[in-house]
Amino acid sequence: MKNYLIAFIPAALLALAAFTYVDVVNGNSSKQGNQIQSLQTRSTAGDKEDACCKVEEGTGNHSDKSIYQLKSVWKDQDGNSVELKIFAGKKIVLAMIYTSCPTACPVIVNNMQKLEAVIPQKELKKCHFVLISIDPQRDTPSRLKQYAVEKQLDMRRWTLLTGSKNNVAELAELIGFRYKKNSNGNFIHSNLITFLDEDGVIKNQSEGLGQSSNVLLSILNK
Amino acid sequence: MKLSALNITLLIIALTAGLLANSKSASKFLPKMILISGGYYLPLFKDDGETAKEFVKSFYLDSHPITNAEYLEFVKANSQWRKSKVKRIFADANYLREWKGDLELGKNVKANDPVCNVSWFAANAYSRWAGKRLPTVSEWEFAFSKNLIDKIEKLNSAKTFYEWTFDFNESNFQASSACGGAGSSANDPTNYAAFLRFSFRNSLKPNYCLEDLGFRCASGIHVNIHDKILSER
Repeated sequence: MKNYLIAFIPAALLALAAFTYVDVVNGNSSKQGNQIQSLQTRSTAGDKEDACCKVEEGTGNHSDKSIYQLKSVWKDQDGNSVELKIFAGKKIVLAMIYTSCPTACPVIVNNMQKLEAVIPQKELKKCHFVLISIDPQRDTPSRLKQYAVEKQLDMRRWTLLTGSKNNVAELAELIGFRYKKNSNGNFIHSNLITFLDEDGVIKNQSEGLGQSSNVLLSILNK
Repeated sequence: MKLSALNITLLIIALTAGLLANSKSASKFLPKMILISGGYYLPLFKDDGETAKEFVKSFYLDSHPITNAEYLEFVKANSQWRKSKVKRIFADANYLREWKGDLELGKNVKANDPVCNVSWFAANAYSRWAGKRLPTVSEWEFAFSKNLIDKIEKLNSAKTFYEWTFDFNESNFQASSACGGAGSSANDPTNYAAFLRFSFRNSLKPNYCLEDLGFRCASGIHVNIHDKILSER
């Protein structure tokens, strides 16, 4: 009996340790699962498809050319985990920026706001404006929120996202956005506004900083 | 009493086996990497206002490019990267062109040859699945610079000429912004091979699949690969 006890105590300790480990691992993975699922519920609101299986497939029913084929998960300005396909169904005006940019990015955001101001009210309901940070280190969700306040963005129609370096690289590749970090922490980057259709396919792009709101409006309506 | 002790022992065995199975996929990719000790590297193109030399931190680099056999394991585990299922936005029509089928290499494709006709998205996805990442242009060029090339090439099959890098687009950006006088801003205008690679990267789009373009993976030295894979599941 005594022998049993001696063997039992380390065994029980090991089992306890193993259980704890498995709990931690499972806890993490189920947490991730929940985040994605809640996102799915949001993105497919009113859609009867099974949320779990759509995550497995990862593609939904988007066209082969849709950037919503990307499965990457981002954080929005409120800290929610979101996939890009939550924007499906809207016309998207999208720019990749970073909030500490002293020069070009504020102009791009301003141009997008000017565009927003000239879109007729009826059309505006079908549009959404998205800013995606290329500076994951500094642009935390709270920093994005602060930026939205500073720029007086109308949060009914604007979303700001930040994600991993890999997320940024993949999206940049898909839309042909180029960027490079300097040794001082700032970036040299393309000045690009991308227009996506309701399915996430690139419909048009505007390069440069000088476009008037009416030029951008005509590009949006092309 | 006897029964419960036995139960617990069995449980421990089962759990250990489970944990080992979990780490198996990671350890399979571990042994083939070479430590590249950090150092200064002279990029081919200078950036305005920056010192010419760039410090590359120590990292691990695969000793050989990913083979067809290794890539097959990836497509088995990730059906969205099979030949018939891949989305055109991520890989053009030449994706795995020489393979006979989704999970079949066919007679003309050797299992141990480097996989080619894979896009940047595919190479990047493979790297992440393996718990690694693509090397940056700086890392790749640094590792293949004169001092280190022997160490890597010993194990290197010579079939692929070019390899994907994580930020090929970035080199693209530098090169195009420095493009005015072709070689005038280059640090070593006699480095013909590097010129070729830079101009080649400059011509790439991320969904291109080409027959002389493969890839290998890198990894930072402080990353616990096993933990990384678990956290990404």
